[in-house]
Amino acid sequence: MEQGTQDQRSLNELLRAGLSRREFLQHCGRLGLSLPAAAVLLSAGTRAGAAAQQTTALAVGLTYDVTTLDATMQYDAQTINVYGNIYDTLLRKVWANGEFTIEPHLAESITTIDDTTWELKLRSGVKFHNGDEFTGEDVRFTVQRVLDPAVASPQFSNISGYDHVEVVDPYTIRIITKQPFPLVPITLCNLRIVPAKYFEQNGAEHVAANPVGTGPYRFVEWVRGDHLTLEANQGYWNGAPGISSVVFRIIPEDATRIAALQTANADLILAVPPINAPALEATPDLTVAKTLIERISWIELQALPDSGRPTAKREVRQAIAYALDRDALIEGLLLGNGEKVATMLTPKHLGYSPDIPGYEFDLDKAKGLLSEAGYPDGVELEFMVGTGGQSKEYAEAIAGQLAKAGITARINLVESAVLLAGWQKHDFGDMILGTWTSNTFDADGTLYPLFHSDTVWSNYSNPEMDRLLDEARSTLDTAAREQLYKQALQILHDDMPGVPLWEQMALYGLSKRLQWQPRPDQELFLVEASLSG
Amino acid sequence: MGQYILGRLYQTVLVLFGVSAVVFLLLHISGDPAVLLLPQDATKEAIEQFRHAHGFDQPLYVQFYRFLSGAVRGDLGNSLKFNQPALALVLDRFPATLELALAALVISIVTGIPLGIISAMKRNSPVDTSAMVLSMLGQSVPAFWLGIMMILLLSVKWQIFPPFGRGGISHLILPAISLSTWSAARVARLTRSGMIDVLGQEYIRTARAKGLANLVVVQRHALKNAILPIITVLGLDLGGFLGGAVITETIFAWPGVGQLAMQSIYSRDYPVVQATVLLVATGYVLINLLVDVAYAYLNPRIRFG
Repeated sequence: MEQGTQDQRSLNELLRAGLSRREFLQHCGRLGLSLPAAAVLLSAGTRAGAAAQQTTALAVGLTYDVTTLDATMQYDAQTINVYGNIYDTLLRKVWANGEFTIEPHLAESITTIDDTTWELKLRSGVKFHNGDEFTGEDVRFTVQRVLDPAVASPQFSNISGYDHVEVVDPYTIRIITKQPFPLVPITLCNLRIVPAKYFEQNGAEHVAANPVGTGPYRFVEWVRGDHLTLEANQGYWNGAPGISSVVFRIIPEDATRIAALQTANADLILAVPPINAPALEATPDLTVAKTLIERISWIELQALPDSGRPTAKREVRQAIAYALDRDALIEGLLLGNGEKVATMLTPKHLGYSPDIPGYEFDLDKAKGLLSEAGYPDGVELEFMVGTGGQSKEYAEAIAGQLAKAGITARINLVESAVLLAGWQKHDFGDMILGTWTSNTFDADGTLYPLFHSDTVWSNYSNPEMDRLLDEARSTLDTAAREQLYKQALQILHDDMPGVPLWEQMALYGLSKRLQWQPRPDQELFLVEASLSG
Repeated sequence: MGQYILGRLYQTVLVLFGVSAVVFLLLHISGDPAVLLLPQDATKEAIEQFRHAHGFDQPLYVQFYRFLSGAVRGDLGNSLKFNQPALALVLDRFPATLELALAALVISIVTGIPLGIISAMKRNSPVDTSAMVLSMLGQSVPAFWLGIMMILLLSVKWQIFPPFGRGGISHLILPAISLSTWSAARVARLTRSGMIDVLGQEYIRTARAKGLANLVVVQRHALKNAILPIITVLGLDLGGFLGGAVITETIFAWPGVGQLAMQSIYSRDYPVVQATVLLVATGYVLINLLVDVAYAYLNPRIRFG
């Protein structure tokens, strides 16, 4: 007993030193080391004694390199983390108590002229970092660039409902949509405005490495794969930021990123694995900041009737939903860093309905439904899983739970590109372990691509669902949209083409000298942060 | 000799063509970049638009022809992810990888060869046994484990070296050790066996009988004859360091070609992967050519016709 306590203490010290429990045990096993012997070999590594960098510079540990600083050409999280500080948007989300309101930013107001015309009054006197004045021409240029088929912008689908932008005068623009498009305000929170004149004078390739925005930070240097430096824009129209400079360091390996925080080489690191969070929290100068985010984990099921798969039967899909003990999965796999969801939407989504009950863990019901489906002796399903992150462990735990209900899920572990290709071709077997975010906080961003029969991702075909989703995306009446989505969620609950699992949580490691609150939209606005000491 | 080198260069072109063809085909059958590079909620229209803009809707042979005709002009296309010329991106990272590879090579040479010589000279002594146990460990310990352990001990706990990144010599030491350990251990074992073999030869006995100093016998007569297979191995290892530092570069956040290659493979950034493989393959083939030429210099019995 006493030995066990010592082992646990030593192990905790090791974890504090930045190695995950699982990794550590794997490594010990490979070397044939006993836990106590290995723990003696290594003792605690802490930030204590590290030469704290007494500076107003902030160091941020990213998980992979930024791809381009042309804000119209990329949409991956790490890149947005950086260029989100260089460029501004016309509107922005302001969060309070886990909910957001959309507020003016570069635009001073937004009004609808008719169902397909939105008029925005722009802020005057705003300058880009190179001195150019921000006007409606920059908005028109940005939108047209994203919509241009020759540019092939990854952001095209975000604003594909836009038709074009009209510049009424330098500080008034109109966005004309192809049909009523209720997502205009939220998409304007994500669309960064690039300078038209600078772009035309220098070309896209130059801009991609030498960005110029109106944002709180201006670009200084980018050493690819190593670091990227920004400095405060002292003339920022919304007040100069408190932190004078920021260095984003590219540190792909989890253990190294944690070591960077422990050795004061970073003040903020992204993507802390849940297993490392307690050890970081136990370190005196460090803390872990968490927030639930829009990303949902769920199991996509092959529900197309002509697929011939067992999951084409509704009862099998419902049996899967009943057979899963989500609380145990969240506790065991995520160490509590997630929130059970009853539907594919979170409370932060427009269209969320708390009235949908969801499926509570019930093995008897699961077995009964399997019998009804014609599988009284159990059923064998093919479960395609991508190799990224901890998907394999998650899939194994899910398969273990399903087995208790008589469902044998054969895991087919494939590289993520293979999984996505199989998904798009509807050729993945019965189940896929998926995660989804649209960053719109609107039901349309999740339900339309996943469950409308006319999209590449959907493995579900229901004319009533198509009608509800089409109608909801083509009216500007919010109350009507919420009613339509409530009906859609009820159908999804009954038909169960996808089993919602949990709402994910983002974990950040922080030096205590940094004051910053993580946002549910995962934006890293450093103008909202401050440093002490 | 000149004719030999010309012939080898001609072979290099053929090898690179073969490598290009294999990489091109493997990449194109392994996954669609559109689904990885576009947002999850990309519409069918957006996906088709992306494929058309990058020519992925063309037959494979047309895409390969376009790639080859660009490659002979030094144009390996633009990165799908970074929107920059692929070759420039890879060349930009190459100095970092070369620096790490050369540092690892130096460590392999300065630790592996002396360790092997001492082991051979003190055969079956505790020194020999310790050296061989050490080299066995060096070959058994995975680079990623050693890398993480060095970070935990030497960076986090004792704070001797920075844990990651490229900078001065202090940044170079841990990744170079991590990368070189396997090679240094192999060089030590090879040097030991080669030296034991040579030290038993008649001419060594003659040299000793002439009264030559032990150091002179080892340096001038034994090592020069034992070193040929070691040079081959070191050449292969240097080629391996250039192309295979992926794990070390990832663990130590070293901004080299390996890290770029890994990121590009995951996102199916075809042009960057192709440029990386071509550059690394060229380096590998040229290093082997240099090794062969070095043979002739070190061993007068070898001549190229």
